[in-house]
Amino acid sequence: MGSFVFLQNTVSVPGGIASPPDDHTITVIDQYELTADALSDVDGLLLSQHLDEHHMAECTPLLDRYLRQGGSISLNGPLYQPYLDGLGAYAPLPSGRAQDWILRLGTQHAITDGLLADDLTYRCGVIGFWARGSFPVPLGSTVLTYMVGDDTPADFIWNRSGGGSVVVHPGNDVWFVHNDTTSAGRFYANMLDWMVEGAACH
Amino acid sequence: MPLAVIDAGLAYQRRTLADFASADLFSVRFALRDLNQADLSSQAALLIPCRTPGHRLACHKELLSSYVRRGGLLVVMGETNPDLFLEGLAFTPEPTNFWWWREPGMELGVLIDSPSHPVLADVSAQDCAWHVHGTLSVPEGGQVLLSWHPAPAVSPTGGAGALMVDYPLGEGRVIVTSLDPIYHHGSGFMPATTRFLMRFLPNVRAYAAAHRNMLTLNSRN
Repeated sequence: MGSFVFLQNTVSVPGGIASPPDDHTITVIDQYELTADALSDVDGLLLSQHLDEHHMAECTPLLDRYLRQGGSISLNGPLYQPYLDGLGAYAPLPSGRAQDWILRLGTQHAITDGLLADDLTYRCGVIGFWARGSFPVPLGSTVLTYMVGDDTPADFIWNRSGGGSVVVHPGNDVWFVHNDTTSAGRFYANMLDWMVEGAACH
Repeated sequence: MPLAVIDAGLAYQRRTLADFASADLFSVRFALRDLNQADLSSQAALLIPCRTPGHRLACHKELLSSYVRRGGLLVVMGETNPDLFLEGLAFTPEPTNFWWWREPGMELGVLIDSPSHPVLADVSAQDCAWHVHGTLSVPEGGQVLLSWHPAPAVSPTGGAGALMVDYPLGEGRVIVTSLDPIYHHGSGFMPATTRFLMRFLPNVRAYAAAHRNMLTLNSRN
């Protein structure tokens, strides 16, 4: 199906990356070995919450070129220092209350198709695994989920005016729940499918 | 005497270090990528934060060992795969039970074995109880500071063992734990980790200073 690149900066490769859904293939590259050549002819780049941000900041021009060429990126985690040009700083929800992290779905979209918001919100009854804060949403973005506390956007697709798409997820890596028995794992599978088929159409 | 830190650039590490900056706990940061060029000799204590990729520290095993043997205090936090870069230490992973606390009356089973140890001053067992990722062996001459004794409902595998140990190596010491408070505080999840760090980090700084003073006195005698 689709081909992706994952940057590894952990001892082991996450299960959802090692065994991707829907017959997609994911090439694992050591983060420090990322080159522009590695991104030629791939459907998407998967960026984990466990990356060295100093190095990623050095890669900003490379990532920008990749996006301007029509590339797609899955960006995960409550970043301390955003490393994509045009993305603002992450901020936790001020209240810090778990009840404010309850999610609702936004615009109907292929990535959230078949998902129940409660399956993103609750993991074995606990709130907070999915998202606890947000990034500023650039103009023209498609908001996929909101935190009901003050209707803050959580997940969104940043449709960059210069080209390319970034699926921004402000919490634990979306493949973290790939094996959960709820619908939460569909976010990751749907996202990969969309990055192959849908991203170029926006 | 502030703590030197290995900087792996991870978001939650950076956020934790920033959140604790006003406490004057941290001094120089050594970038993990440039660690082979680092001069650690003047540092009383070196902290390896949670989730620093252990496989990237494996090539620095001799550097870290030499630092400790010459009198340094090395403090290694959780989810760093310490068996990859600390000689003589084994780590046994445990399937993580994030939900034990939802059972009324359930305890995680953390025990403070060494309540008088300086790094655990004013630290309660509750401050150490969020979840367990694994247990540690006890290297020669070491002492267990924290241990885990879970009920079957908490750990179906029957996992039990040390969560934090302190052991000598040459003139120095190594404190290693499988707890990962820096990751969770820096991710804005689990307030117990914040409480733990507020006590543990200043204690480590004081312990490092006392150890360095002791070495200085010994060298004069």
